Amino acid sequence: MTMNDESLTPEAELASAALDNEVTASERARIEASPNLVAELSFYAEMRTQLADVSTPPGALDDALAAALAAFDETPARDLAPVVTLDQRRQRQYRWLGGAAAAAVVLVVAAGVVNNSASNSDSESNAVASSATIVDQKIASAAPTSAPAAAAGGAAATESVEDSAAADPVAPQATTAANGELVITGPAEVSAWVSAPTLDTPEEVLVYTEGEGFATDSASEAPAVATQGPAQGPAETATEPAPETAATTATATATATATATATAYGTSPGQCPSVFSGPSAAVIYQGRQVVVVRDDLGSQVLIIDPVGCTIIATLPAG
Amino acid sequence: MPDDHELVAAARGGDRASLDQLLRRHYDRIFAVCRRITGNETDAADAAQEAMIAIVRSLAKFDGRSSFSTWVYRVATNASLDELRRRKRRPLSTSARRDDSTGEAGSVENERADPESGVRLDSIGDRILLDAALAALAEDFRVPVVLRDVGGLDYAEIAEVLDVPVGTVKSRIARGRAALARSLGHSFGNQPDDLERQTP
Repeated sequence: MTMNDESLTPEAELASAALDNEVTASERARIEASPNLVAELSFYAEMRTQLADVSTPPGALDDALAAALAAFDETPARDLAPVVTLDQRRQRQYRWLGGAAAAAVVLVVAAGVVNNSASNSDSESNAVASSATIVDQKIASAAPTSAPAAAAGGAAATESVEDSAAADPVAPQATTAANGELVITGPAEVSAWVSAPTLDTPEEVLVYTEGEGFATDSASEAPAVATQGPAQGPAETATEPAPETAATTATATATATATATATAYGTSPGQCPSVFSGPSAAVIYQGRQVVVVRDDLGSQVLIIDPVGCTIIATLPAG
Repeated sequence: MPDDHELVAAARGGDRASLDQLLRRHYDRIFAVCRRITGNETDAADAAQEAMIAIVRSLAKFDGRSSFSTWVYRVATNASLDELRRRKRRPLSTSARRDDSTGEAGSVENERADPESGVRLDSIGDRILLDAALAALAEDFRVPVVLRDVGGLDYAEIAEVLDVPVGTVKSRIARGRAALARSLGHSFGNQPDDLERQTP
């Protein structure tokens, strides 16, 4: 009997593999079906049990431990540290370089995103800010010309934008940018008529214009440059905007940027008759955005289409 | 309770108590492997002690890719084989006679107290016979059997320890077990004729 291939039968190999749970289900079934294989497996299992049954002689652990700890005490600390092979060191370097490269890529991408975002934001804020600046310029330029109604109207219009923004989800939102500029976002068209009264009949218009608060109301509700009165017009109602104010307002309208200013009405002296003088207010008349002017000189109330400066109706003032 | 890798890390950092705990945890198995490979307690104690020292001195080389147990058994196996080589240079004291041509214990089978006792190996005499049969087994077969049945390593781990293919491990274990069984007078199901018949 020799220790060679001929000495190992398939059954013995199968029993050994079964002992180590290295058999398939079918092989296991084959073993269980064979009394000889079951006996072989059982004998192997018994051998394993006996082989593993080793008792440690008394004192052996203590002796070995003392020797090992003595060796530990004699070993310099540096020799206990993990050994880093050259390959491992190179791998770590490559790993570090890879990490650094990845970080650089991330930074570049992030910078690009930030720049892009900042650029977009700048362009947007520039566009809006310019509009806001136009409004401010307009208001500022109107005020010195002792046009309280216009100035106050502009401010009121701005406030109305903010108010409407709070009340109307589609209304523009006016916020102050970090640089202090007013930023208005939202729908391009902002109407001074957002908070204007709704009137359906001439009588209601007359009642409205004859009300005690009309002049005051008009000062707060009318479009910024409600009327272009002649030089003889009342100082408190007729505004004489500087040419550049008209131009900037026109530009604002042309760019359809959200503003809280008046519309084309009154912004072009050449288009709007000078007879339109007196307190005015923005009104929703029969569903249309109009400007109502109480022409005290002519004892009439004019309902004017602000877009074309056309008179829709002339009502005799009481 | 910290695991092996945690204790290794602490020991590398100079924590003597962690090293103590780590070595105590594995000593019994180390000794058992050494005992079965060397074949006697004295050599096993020496081999186990050498293994413990080697573990300490090689702690820096443990890379954690394998389990600490696998690495420890590799060290213990090498220490045991070294001990055997040293023993070969000393006068033989073992009673087991060895058939050098076959690598098997030629006389163990005849020394069985009761060949008809069958499967059970529970008597002191059987244990002695097992020791003798194992000691008489060639190293290439004894070591994988010990690492599997005593150390509890799986085929892949044994292959890693011995640096041989897994298939070789499986084959050597099967042959080693079969040789042990034959040495103990156990043929296939106590039916020697069966074994002979199925042998090509």
